[in-house]
Amino acid sequence: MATLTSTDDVYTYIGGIFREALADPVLGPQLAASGVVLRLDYRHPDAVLVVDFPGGTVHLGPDGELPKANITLSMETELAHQYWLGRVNAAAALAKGQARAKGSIPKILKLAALAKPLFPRYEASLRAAGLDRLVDEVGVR
Amino acid sequence: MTATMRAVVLDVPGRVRVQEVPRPTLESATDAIVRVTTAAICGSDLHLVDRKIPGMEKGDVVGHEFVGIVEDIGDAVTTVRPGQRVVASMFPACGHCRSCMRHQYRTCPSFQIFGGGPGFGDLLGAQTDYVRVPLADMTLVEIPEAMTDEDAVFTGDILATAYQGLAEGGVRRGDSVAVVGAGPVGQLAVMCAPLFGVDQVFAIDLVPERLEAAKALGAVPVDARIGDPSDAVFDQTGNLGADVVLEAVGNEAALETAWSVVRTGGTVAMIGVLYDEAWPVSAGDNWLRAVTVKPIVGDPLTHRHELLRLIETGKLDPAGIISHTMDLDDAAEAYQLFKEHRANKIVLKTGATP
Repeated sequence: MATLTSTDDVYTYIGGIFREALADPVLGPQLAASGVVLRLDYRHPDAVLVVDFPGGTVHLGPDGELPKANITLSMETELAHQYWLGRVNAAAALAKGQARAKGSIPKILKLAALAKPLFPRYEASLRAAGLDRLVDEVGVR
Repeated sequence: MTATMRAVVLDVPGRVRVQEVPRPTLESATDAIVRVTTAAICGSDLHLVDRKIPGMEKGDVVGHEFVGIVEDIGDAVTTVRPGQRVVASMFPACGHCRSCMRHQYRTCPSFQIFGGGPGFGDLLGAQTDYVRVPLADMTLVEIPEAMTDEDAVFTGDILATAYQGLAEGGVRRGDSVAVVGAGPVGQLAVMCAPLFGVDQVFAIDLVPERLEAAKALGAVPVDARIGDPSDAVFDQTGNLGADVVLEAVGNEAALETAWSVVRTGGTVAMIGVLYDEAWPVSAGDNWLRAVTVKPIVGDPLTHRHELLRLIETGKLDPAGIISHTMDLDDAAEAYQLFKEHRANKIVLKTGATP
């Protein structure tokens, strides 16, 4: 299945959607109020993102001084990509072991719900970069 | 007959001593007097002595795991007789009330724990030369002749507790089980796990010697000092987590670990002694993860016959976890050794013989 193939792409497109979310006048304050510092550990390609919602920052890569996360999610990059296209049931992915979570499950599911308006923007960012294949050749989980 | 006897009593919080106390006598027609031969020190004795469970006062007699010889019985006692070697359930129950009929002995109106302090019926403890046993017909059971005291004593509490954690936890064949706390109860849970068809059992602890002991019994050791235990458990369960988790410590950190390693839809059986600890997750979190919670006080009355049989047939070897056999007179030192994790399991011998 088509997915992001390089760490740089992960940081550009998934990192980018988080930056958009934080900058969004409606969504940004809601995310900040969650109090969540989210660490995402992706595999194949490997990538680490730490999103500090209250602090309004997105850290890319495992190096340097990272904010202490209170929620950590680990998964294949392919799953993350499918999630941002709106094709993953987050609760089911956790139950099936496709994603591993550390931290408050209610907060994770709340974040998942808040993210829904961003799905079209993620798709649009890929299409704008000529990566239509990453959208059109993705199944549903 | 002397009017006093030796007993292990609370001295100051955190410390016991051996002193002379009045020797018990029959108080009811359903009582028996047992001459104690072997008594064990349990982790919950430490909770009482350290006053995590409040109520024990200076001079209160401790201990609830014991084996001995029936010395005397009340007129209404019919199932045991003087001279028999018996093991006691850590708590008596009447055997005929509504709760007992449902095997919910901990809610029997006659429930009290030997040496459990005022909060649990104020029944005198059993780390003594003699102990009064209420409701002897239910509380006592004869020990098979060939079985040692050291094996039998486990059926009165911690072996039954470990076994019940697995049984009440609903363990199924092929399940993964995580035991949080590889102390004596945790080790016995590891020992019992194959009887339930468990595929793999993880033992999580901070003490290297306890992890080694659990490993020798077949567990996958998980050293919580080195990394997050949930990573080890999820890595080895196809990223699902453990089907059943036994929390065998009884503190907030262990509860937190238990919830971090259980799978969605799994079960946490709380077999450690808890008193006023906070819940590790919100009710909503627990609901969303569909975790079943089982608070367990070990139930020797339900399980002791099968456990005695499993020991008799060599399927369980609880005495194998005993690290120290000491004289009752050395109880203060024994408690210190146990508290500092310098002993795995300690039995105290009174010197009495059958």
